[in-house]
Amino acid sequence: MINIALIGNPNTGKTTLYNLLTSSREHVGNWHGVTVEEKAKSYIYKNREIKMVDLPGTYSLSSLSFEEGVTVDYLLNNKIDAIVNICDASNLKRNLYLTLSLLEMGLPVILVVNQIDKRPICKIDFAMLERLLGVNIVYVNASNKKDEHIVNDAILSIVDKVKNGYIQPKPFYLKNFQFSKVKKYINETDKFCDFYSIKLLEDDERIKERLKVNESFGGLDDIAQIRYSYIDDVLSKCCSKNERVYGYSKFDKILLNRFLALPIFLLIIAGAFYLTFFSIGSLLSEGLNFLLDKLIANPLLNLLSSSFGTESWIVSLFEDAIVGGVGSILTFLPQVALLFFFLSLLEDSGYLSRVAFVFEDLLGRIGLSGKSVYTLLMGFGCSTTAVLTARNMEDKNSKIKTGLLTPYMSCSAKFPIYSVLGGAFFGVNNIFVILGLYFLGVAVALLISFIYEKTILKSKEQSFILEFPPYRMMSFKRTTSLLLLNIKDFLVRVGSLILAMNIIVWLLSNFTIKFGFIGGGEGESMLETFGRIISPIFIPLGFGNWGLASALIAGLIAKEVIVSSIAMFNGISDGSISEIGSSLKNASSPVFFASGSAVLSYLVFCLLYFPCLATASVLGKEIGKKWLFIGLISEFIIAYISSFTIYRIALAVETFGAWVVFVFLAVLVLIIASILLISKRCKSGGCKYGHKCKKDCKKRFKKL
Amino acid sequence: MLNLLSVKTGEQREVKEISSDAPFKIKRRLLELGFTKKTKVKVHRKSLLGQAYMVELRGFILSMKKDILRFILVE
Repeated sequence: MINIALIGNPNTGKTTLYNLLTSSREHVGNWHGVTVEEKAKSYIYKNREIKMVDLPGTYSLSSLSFEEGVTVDYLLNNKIDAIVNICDASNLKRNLYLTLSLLEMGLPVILVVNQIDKRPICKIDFAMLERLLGVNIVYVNASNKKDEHIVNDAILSIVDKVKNGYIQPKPFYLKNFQFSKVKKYINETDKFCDFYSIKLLEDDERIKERLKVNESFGGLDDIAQIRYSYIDDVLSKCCSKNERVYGYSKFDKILLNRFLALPIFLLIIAGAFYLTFFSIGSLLSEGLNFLLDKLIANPLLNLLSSSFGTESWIVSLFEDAIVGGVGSILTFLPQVALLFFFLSLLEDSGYLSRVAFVFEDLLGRIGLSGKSVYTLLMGFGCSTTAVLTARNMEDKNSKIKTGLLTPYMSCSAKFPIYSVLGGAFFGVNNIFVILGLYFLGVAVALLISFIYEKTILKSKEQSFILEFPPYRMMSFKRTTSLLLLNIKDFLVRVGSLILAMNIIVWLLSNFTIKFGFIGGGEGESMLETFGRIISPIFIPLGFGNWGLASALIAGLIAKEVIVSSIAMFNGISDGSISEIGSSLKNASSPVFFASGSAVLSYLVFCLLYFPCLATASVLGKEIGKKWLFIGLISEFIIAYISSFTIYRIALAVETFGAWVVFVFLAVLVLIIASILLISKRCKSGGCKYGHKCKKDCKKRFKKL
Repeated sequence: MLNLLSVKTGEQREVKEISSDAPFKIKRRLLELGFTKKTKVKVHRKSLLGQAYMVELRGFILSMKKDILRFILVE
């Protein structure tokens, strides 16, 4: 087997190449650090097995961040036959820095120059580049299927060459490094002795720790200088002058205009949400609901009841759990697929990096970084995958904070709850309720971050540096494949997790504690018994109903199940959204809401209470058990307080009229203003540059 | 000593060195990204409240936090 490590700078098309070679469908995007952990896959080419490992994107081989640590450790600890190093043809000047670090290691390298943009930034003489760098170069377009064999042939050819005694030449400038300074610490028989020497000269903490070295060498500036001069020298010989700046665009004049940037972002997001949830999305949803009902649900149910009779438990299982429960979720397929599609579109276009730039102002202040925007936006899709993207944050506390905030975003699984429950009570006005819930999620997240920043999770060193990728249009091929992929993912989720959960809820809600089948007859189900125990704590929030309480518990596995459970409890057997709605208004059905205020309160609770099990377990791995525990507790408390407040205000509005809202807002503004006023005062000794107020510190800061 | 923060937007300068005040991690990242001696740098724009800066060097664009620009000393 041939072991290949795939390495490259962030956002050079590394994962695209990986997908091409291994026929995978890993997530790619026009953003930094989409790959957060190593992935490996084997494939056969010309009867030989090649194992390709996709390592996280990195700028160098120092171990500054998590991703880089992964990459360095992998290279040092595994037997690697060749490194495939991918560079963006338009950004060679910077990308080659990593290539040089790899060449210094002495492992065989294939340099894949990826032509992403149709119009090259400069003309490159590849034969010349190959000769000057002493490395095998192939020139491809990683999204072009035909280029697959070019890379594979290069891999086989270099592996065979190595077998016949070829040794990858190291860059000649190595002799200019002051290896004599570190000689006494290096075992010269080690395969990577040059690499270790360089890392010691660069004062790399991890390598120093590994070799038990305390001395400091301070060679970092010189080494970087030597490498970059070498790159400049090489490129001046084989490239024409750059025609434009990589990542610079005329559009930025408008999109990043100091005053227009924020409104434009909000418009784009609002547009995407409107299309997803209200115009195209909701039309498609209604169509799908109709089709499912007429073509699948009704014929299937007729067939079942004619063959088993209406009293059988099999009919009840199919009616309530499978057709009704799953059907009520399946209806949301178009909307969920569209939402994920728009998120990918934002990511692919290169606009997200600009958003990070715009939001640095706001997020930097509450101890997050512009990079958090990516995680939080992805949280609108699925919090489980979004939490993983927090990994590429450099500051540990910012990472924990970002992780803790992600569950407050309205993920795609929460939308069905808003749509079904809100739609029943608020009709056309539900659009404002949903909008309000999305805003509430974001507002709570920002507020919590602010509180964490001021108390237990102060961020230490936020070095927000992000590359601007060029704007790119999504190809038609990618558009369709993304849509299909999103549809497939949703169907798999509904067909596995949600179906299983529905069957469990059905079992618990149709059998008594003594395992007797109820089937619409008399008797209290297990779930009802349990629900009645916990439901009293929700009475102050306006929904002390056992069914609503049990649905919240079921929703811990997947939030969509809240809707399907309610459909089941009320015996809606065809998954029709409007029937679920009308049953919720009917005080004689098992699960109902007494008032619109109670619905609002329930929706707010659904938005803010515990994240689903998958998210919680990923969070636990990413930020540790302790923070997960703190996060879960605070989520419950915040959900409870928010629901309570909103329920009481809504009730007051129902009885006294809308002016109550204004009074409440006024009080809120007063409270916030007084908090701000108090926090403006500098604590004595709190500031490095003096004991006076913050403004003064800023002035002094500038002088320094 | 002049740092990148005090350079007007649109004006091109040459990097002199990375300030010794810079935390080591930041210094290393800046050098890796190419802020080496004599590199030409240019600030393109600031965000609304001036917390983020858009900086051009070596033919590409970076978005950086204000505090970091302070560590880049220029001629």
